[in-house]
Amino acid sequence: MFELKTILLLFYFLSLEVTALFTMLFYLIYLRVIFSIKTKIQIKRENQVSKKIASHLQGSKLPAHEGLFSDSQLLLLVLESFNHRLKGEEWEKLKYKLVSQYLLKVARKRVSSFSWRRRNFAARVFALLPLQKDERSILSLLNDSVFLVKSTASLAAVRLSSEEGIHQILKYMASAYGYSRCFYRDILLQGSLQTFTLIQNIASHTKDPSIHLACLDVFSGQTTPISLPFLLKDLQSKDPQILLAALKILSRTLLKNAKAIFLSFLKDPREEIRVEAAAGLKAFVDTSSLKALEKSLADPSWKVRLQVARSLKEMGKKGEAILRRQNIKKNQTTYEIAKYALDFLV
Amino acid sequence: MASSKKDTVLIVEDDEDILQILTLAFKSKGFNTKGFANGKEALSYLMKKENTDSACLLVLDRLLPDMDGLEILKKLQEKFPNKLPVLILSALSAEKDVLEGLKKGAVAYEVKPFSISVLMQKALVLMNRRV
Repeated sequence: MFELKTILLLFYFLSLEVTALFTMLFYLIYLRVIFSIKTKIQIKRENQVSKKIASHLQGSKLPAHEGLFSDSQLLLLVLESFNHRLKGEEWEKLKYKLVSQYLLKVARKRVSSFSWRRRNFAARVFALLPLQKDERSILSLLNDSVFLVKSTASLAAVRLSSEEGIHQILKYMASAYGYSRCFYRDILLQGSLQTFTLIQNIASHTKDPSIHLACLDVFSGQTTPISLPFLLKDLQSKDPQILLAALKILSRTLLKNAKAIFLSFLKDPREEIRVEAAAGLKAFVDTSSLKALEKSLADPSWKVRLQVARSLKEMGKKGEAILRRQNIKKNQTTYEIAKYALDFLV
Repeated sequence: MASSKKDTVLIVEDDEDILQILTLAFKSKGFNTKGFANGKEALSYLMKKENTDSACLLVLDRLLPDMDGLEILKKLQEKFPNKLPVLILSALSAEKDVLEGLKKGAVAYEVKPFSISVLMQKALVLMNRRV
């Protein structure tokens, strides 16, 4: 009797386990099938929307209401993808029409939504088509607590060249470290001439050294098309970070007396300053620069020696000749770094 | 307008949308088009003399799923040197990439994101030079 009861109990639990296992299995298969069907439908719809947009680009008339564009999320996705690949008047015109007809109203409603995904949608729409009348909304999204919202809104602010927005981004940049600092810097670097002028203005007037440094960081990221009146003052700064950033900018802008400045900083006691000075000198292929760089091949810091050798290599035949004439018997240190540069640096 | 003999624009582009946009743009100017989504197909088509004879321009993407567009260009130049004007359309925008493309035999290089009008204008100039 006892044995039968145990067997029945065992059978009962076994059947329960098998049922649970099969239920889970069916659920997983169901999810997999549903997901695959959903993905297929999504790709199909994306293709349809893309084709429609492509045909409108060739001048086919935009109807008062296009059913295909009613899914705002999908339309935004496709428009963003087109925006990465196309530019020019015909694309800008079509983008303006589509965004203002199908997306802007939704985005404006979603600015103050409870869900961050909806606020992110709004920021993406404004980044796609930043209009002056949406500046307040963009600034409000820029102050959002969610990174994915404020980072997208910062793109919109830069594209709009909003002074308040750019100031806010510089503040974020000043308080950020590592990658997130670069993230904001890269967004600012995408700006127009107007954006750079605004940053120059902020750098000239700010009393916050961290914001000034953030501005310098931006200008050191690419050749700046505008003059920077504060640069000479920054080159005399006692703050090594400001001085370093100013030297980086000088390498790109090359002021009249840039060579003399680099030559003097090549003797600076701080190694990172000497590295930057050596990097800047590569633009001046003349006797005094080559002589100074050759002397610095024996610098006590390997970082400086490496940069000096790199600069000499990049200076072409004259620089390479200096590297070649280093003699192992005279000075092993200069010989080794010269050989490394000649053999391994591209 | 295109001439009657050489009126086919060959487009090698793996991005379906761009391929469609370019196809429509060239068709609207009266050209025939032939599109390829990968390098292998394009290469086997281009290696036949009758195919290059009927073509007036090759629009070539660089980052193809199976090869670098420059490989196609290199093989085309080896077999039919300077026969077909080649316009590279690529997202690779660094100076060395552009130079590499031009050195391998492309006549023009357009960087993505691109303007359709500018690309079409460049293409028409290249074709008029030859046709």
